[in-house]
Amino acid sequence: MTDISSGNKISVRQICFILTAYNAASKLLLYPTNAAFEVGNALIFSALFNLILQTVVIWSVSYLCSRTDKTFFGLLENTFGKVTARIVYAFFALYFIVTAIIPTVEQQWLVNDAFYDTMPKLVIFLPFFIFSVYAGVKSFTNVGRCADLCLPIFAVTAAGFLIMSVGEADFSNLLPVMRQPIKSVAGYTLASMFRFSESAFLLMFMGHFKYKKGDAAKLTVSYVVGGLVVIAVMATFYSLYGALTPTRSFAISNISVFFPVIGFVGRVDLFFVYAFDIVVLFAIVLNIQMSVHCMCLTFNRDLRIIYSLCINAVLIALTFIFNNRYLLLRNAIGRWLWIPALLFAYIIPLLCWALRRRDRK
Amino acid sequence: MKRPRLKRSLSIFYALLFIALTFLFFTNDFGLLDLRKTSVVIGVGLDIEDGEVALTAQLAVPQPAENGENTKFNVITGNGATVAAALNDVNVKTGYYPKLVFCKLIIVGESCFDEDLSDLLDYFYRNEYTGLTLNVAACEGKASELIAQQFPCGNSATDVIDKLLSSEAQASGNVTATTLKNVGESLYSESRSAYMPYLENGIIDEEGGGSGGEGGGSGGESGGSGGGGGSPQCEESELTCDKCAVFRNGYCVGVLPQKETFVFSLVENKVSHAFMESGTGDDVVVLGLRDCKGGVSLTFENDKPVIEFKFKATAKIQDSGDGFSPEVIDDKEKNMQALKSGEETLAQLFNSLMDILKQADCDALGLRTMLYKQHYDKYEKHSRNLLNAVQVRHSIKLKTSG
Repeated sequence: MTDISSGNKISVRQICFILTAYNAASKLLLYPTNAAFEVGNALIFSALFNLILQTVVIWSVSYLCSRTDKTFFGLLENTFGKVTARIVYAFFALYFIVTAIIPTVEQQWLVNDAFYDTMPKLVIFLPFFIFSVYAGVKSFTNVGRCADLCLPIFAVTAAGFLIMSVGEADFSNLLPVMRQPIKSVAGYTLASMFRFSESAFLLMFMGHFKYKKGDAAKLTVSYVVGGLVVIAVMATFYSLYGALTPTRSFAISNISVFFPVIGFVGRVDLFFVYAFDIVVLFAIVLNIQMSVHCMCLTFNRDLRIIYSLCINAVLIALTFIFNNRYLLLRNAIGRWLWIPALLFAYIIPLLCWALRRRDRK
Repeated sequence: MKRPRLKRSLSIFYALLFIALTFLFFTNDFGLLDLRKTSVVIGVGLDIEDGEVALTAQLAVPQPAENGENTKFNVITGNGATVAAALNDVNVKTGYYPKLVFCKLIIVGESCFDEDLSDLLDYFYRNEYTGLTLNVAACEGKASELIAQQFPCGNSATDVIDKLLSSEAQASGNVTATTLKNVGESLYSESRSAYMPYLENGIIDEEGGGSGGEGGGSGGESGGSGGGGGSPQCEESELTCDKCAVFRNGYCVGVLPQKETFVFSLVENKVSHAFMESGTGDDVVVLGLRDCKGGVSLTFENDKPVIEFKFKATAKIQDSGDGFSPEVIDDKEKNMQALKSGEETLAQLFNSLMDILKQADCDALGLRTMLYKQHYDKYEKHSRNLLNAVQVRHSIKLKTSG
C-alpha cells in the first residue's frame, strides 16, 4: 500500500489559490444575508474579526510548516503514537463532514433560487452528488489542479460582481460605524466562526508540499485576500439593499441586478453566477476530499470510493431532511458549529506547536 | 482477490446510480414552462375593497404569431385578506399561479392610502422571485381601473405607465420614479417615509367611463399588440404623473403639487436635463437646465439642525413670454436676470416643498436617516422634532451656458 500520509502532492501556489478562491466562494452563499440579519450594518466588522482571528491561525500553521516536513498525522504519531493520531483524524473526518452540511444545503438553495423561476424539485440538485462522489476520491494532486482552474474563474467573477454593483451602491448605508451592540456583534462573530475554518485544511496539507522561505507569508496573504473579497462583497451587498438586505437570500445573485445594462440586455450577471457556482462546487467538495483523506489514514486503508460514497450518502440524506428547512438547519446545527470549529480550526492548529517535531530515537 | 471484485461491484453500483440520477434529472421539467400554455404578470394594481385586498393583475398571454398579434393582455382581479391570498384567488380563476418574475409595475390605488403600505408590499419583499427593480406608483381612484385601461400610445396600461416612469422621464425631472427597493429602504429606514409618483387618469369622455377590466373577481381582455385602434374613450384619456404621493409610517399623508414634485426630483433623482418656468406674465421665461447636480445635506450650527438644498446647473433661456428678436438673444443682462429669477424660483419652491413636508410631518427627504448615519451622537436628541426644528438654506447656482 502506498504511503498516503506523506509526499509532495500539492504546491504552495495551489494552496494559496485554495485559501483565496475557495475561502471566499464558500462564504458568499448565505453568510452575508445571515450576517445582515443578525448584526445589521456591522456585518463587515463581524467578518473582519473572524478574518483576523483565522489569519493568525493560518499564519501559525504556515510558519509551523517551515519548521518541519512532517504531516499533521506524522506529528501526532510522533508525539502520541499511531492510535491517537488515528483517533484525532477520525474526529477531523467527522468535522469536515459536519462543516460540509451547511454549504451543501446553501448551494442547493442557490441553485433553486438563482437558476429557476419556480422552486424546482430536489432531484434537480442530486447530480451534484455524482460529481462529489467522483471528486471525493481524488488525491491532493487533483485538489491542487482544480484550484489552478478555479482561481481565474473566481478572479473574473468576483471582479465582475463588484464592477457591476459598486456604482449602484450607497455606502452610507454602512453608517454609523459600529453602533450595533458589541454583545450581538461578538455573539455573531462567534456563531459564524465555523465559516472561517480554513486552517483545518492547511493542517491536512501540512507535509504534503515543499516549504520554501517566505511561503508562510504567501499563504497568509492569500487567505487575507480571499477574506477581503468577502468583506468587499458584503459591504457592497449591504450598501445596495440597506434595511432590506436580510430579505435577499444570496449576495452573489442579487448584487448585480441594478447594473444599468441588465435592464436592457437581461440578467447577464447570471453567467457570472454560474461560473462562480463552479468555484463554490469545488470549495464544498474540498470538505469531502479532506474527510476521505482523514478516513484513509484513520482506517489505514485506501478505500476512497467507499468513504466517498458513505460521506455523500450522509450528505444526500441531510439534504433531503433539510430541503426547504434552512432555518431548522441553522438552528439545529449552525448554532453549535462554532464549538467544533473553535476546537478543530483554532485550538488544535495552534496547539500543533506543542507537538514533537523531531523523530523519536 | 477480494478487492478487484469489490471494485467491480462498486463500479457497477456507481454506473447504476449515475444512470438512475441522470434519468431523474432528464425527466424533470427544469421549472420551464410552455409559454403558449401560460401567461405572465407584467403589472399589478392594488386596491382595498370591503376591507380586503383586490389585486388586479395584467397578464401577457403569448399568442401564435400567424395572425400578427403575438401578445394578448388580460386583466384578472383576485380578492383576499392579503396580497398573497388575492394572488391565489387569481390562480383559482386562471388555473395557474401568477408568476411575478416579469412583473415590472405595482400600482397602489387611492383606497390603499389609509392602509399601511408595508403590509401591502411585504409579499413582494418576501417573494424570492420578485425583482426589487420594478416600478411602484400610486394612482388617483382605482388601480384596477387604471391598469385595465387602454391608451393610444401603448399595448397595455403597464407598458404606457412604464414608459411614463422611464429613466428618460426621470432624467428630465418630470417624474419622481421609484422602485420597490427604494420604497422598502425608505419605509424601513429611520425616516419611515417614502414617496412614489402619483398617476392621474384624466378621462375626458364621460360616457366611456369604464375600461376593459373588471373589478370584483371577473376577468376581461384589455387589448392586443397590433390590435389597432382602441375604443373611443381610450383615445380621449390622458395619463399624467407629474405629482408625487408621500407616505409616513406606511400611510399616505399627501400628494405634492407639480412644481414641488419637480424640485423634489431635482434633489432626489438623477436629473440631467430639465425645463423650468420662472417669472410671471410677460416676464415668464423657460429655462433649459443641463448638467444638473442636486442634493440635500444636513449640518448643525450651534446645535441646531440646518438643511441645505444644493442645486447647480447650466441654464439657458429656451423661450420667453415677451417674444423673440435676434438682438435680445445675446442680451447678457437679460440672461443674468433670468438666471437670478430662476434661482429665486427654485429657492421658493424648495421652501414650499419643505413647508408641505413639515405640515404632513413626512420625512420624504430622509433627514432622520441622514441624522442617524452622519450625526449619530445627536440622533437621540433631535430625531423626534427634527422636521420642525430644521432651518432651511439653499445653495442654488445657475450658470449661463454661453
